[in-house]
Amino acid sequence: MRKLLFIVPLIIAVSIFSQELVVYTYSSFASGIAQKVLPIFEKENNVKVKLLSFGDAGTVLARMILEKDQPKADVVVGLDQPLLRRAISEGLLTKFTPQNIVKVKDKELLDPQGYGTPFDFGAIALVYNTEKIKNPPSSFKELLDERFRKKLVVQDPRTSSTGLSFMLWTIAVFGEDGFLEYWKDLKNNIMTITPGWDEAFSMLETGEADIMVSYATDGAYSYHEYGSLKYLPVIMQEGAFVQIEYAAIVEGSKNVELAKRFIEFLLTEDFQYHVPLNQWMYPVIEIELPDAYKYAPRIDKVLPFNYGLFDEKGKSWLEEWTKVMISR
Amino acid sequence: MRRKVLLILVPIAFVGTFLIYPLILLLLRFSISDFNQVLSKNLSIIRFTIFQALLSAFLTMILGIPGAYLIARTKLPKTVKSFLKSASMVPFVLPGISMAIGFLLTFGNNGIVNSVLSLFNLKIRILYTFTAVLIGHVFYNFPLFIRIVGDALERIDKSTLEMANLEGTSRLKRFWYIELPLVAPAIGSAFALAFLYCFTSFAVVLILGGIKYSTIEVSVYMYLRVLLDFESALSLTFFQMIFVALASLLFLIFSSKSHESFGETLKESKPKWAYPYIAFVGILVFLPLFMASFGGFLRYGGSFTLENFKGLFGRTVEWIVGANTVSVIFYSISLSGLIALFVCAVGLASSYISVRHNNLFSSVVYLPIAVSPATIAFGMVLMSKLPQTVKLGAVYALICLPLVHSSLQNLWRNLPKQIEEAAEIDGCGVLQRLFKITLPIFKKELLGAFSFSMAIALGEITATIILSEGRLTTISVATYKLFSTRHIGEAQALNSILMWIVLTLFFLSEQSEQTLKT
Repeated sequence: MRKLLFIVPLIIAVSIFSQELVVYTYSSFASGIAQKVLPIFEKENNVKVKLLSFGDAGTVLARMILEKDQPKADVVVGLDQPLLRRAISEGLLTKFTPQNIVKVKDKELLDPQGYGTPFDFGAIALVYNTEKIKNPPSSFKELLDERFRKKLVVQDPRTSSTGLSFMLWTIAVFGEDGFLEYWKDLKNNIMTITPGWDEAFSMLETGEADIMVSYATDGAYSYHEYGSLKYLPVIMQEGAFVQIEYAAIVEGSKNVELAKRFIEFLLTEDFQYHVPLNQWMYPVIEIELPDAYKYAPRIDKVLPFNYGLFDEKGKSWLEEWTKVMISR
Repeated sequence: MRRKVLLILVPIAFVGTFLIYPLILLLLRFSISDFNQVLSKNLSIIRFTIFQALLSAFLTMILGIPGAYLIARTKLPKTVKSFLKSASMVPFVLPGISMAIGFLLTFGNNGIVNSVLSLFNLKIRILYTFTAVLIGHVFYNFPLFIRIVGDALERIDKSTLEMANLEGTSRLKRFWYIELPLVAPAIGSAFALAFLYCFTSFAVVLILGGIKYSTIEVSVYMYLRVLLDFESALSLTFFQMIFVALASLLFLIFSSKSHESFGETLKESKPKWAYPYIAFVGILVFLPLFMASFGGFLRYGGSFTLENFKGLFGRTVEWIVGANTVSVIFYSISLSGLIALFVCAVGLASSYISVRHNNLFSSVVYLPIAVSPATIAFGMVLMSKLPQTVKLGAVYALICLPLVHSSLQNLWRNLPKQIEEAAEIDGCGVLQRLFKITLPIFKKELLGAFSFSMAIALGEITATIILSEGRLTTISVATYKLFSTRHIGEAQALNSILMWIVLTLFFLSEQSEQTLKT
């Protein structure tokens, strides 16, 4: 009993003073880049990072909404533009601008509301089978061409983040009043919609479809991993649709100082160096890209998109899209 | 009487704590938004969902009953039978992506069916039509009839049928007047389950149906996972629950008559229609399944390779998954085995009550079908006191329960009450009766139910990912991690391994029955 009297306060003391940063993120961040960079951060700051992952970024946010009253996380990593806005409007985040933000080369990437810190970005693209398609579509208009009849597979925006981004891309191009008309025309060229990216890719692999919605770094990826250039990406002339990933401090965090250091860390060379070949996204600070990135198309023109409108109308866009596409 | 109350309480407490309570927590948090508005927005989808589920279940029944008869009652070699029976179970736990690959490789443009047809200058286009949706559902739900109706056919006493044979009744007539009424309750349960599973179908409808079709479950996913609109998702979930409860009550009322029959199986020669039937079902069910097992051999770019399997046991995979593949497989099997034991216990209680006391009780047990695993998992996030493993185990158990319940119902239906009563008179205690009489007699059904639950627990992914915080590594979580880091080949190889594990599991449970009989 006496021993216990001694041990219990000790345990309490240790648990208060030992620093442990709890980070919420999506699965592929946790099993990919995090394993390379976290040891660096842990060593530099002499702390332990507890990384918890929940599938995709949407699930991470859902989890945070559910835990709002008793937040467990100090930092959340991997929210894209719409998810970040949602997290802010739910009151889940704390404002913070790291000093390293000056290193971010493109100011367009910054979160105008001052909560999120961008750490990488990428673009949606159409990926085609080069053995079957010699003349890939270069614009949304050309994608409607008869020669792509039933050649395209897209992910359902109701179930897939890739699919949702593609739908938003068409809204960025044709406006909220015009995008449904575009989809009506596109129907002829769509072979099927899949619930997620994996199934769409399996259709390319089995030769069922020749074009799918995917990401701009796909060519770089397949070149690097498999030495293959069979599937290459194209970005439509109308402009690229860019997905930016943010990290932010969670409201109610008890480790704010450490959380700040972690976010500063995301903008250091130590972290950013690993972005291209692990996240398969573009780094946000000036860093030399690996060789494989010669097969990733340059992002020349970025389409602006009003995410405020998405908060307001996202649901009805999806419901309208369903009406247009799912009708017999 | 006290015992009865206790037995009723077990399943009710279980469903109440792990299904209803988390839903109530979600409701307290988010409240239901405009119920009518959400329904009316999804009206055409709701109509289609019900329509396709009815048609799919009906077709599965038409195709399933002859199969159940062939496997249960004809003189096929035992190993062949066990293999066919086990293989037909595999789709039930097949991940959407493997199903997609199986169907693409079978019926796709370059699929095996079209390759053969092209020799005769023919080509068929089945995929991306309503027919494909129906085939997909037959593929998935076929095992329900093979298992539930097959077991019932097997238990019909030889003497009853031989009597009819002596009187010169034709097989068809005999089937219609004797066997069909005897197995009607089993057909009812199988049909109810098939209908409910098709009702909440998701991947089959999207992938195989093309752009024209969608189900309620897709809308639930959209509200819950993409829009994080818990209110609308809950509205649809409650609609689904009410619908599932009413629909299952309806089926149960129709199939409530139960017959006791228990005896030696009559084995007959193969009927004339056996071969064309086997060929037809072979193409619809077994060929896609066979092709799906090739998913793991697909090289990036489409040709065939063994590399993926080699990679699976290499450093990179271990690094991504966070554990080596062998220990992941071992861990998954132990975890799911444990859960399967638990589900069988709850299922024994619930099926006993529904057969011996009130058939309508089943509709409580069917409720989990109406609620997507993601919704249950999110609700459980709110039960913050509960340990992670308990939550996960409970989700698996909820998903397995309807199935286990249905297949164990046969057990009680066919066990003559007299045996129980005789044992009771002889002073046998409840547990003694259970372990000395019931369990040994029904070793086969129990092993089947056990394998089923284990297989489902092995394959579940949605809830696992939400609840495990990335720290628990089952086969399905490992597959998810591999897919999400774009290690597609290795992920598919792991899916293939999952298929083989499940196949072996079913095969073993079938085999053990043989050794018991001889």
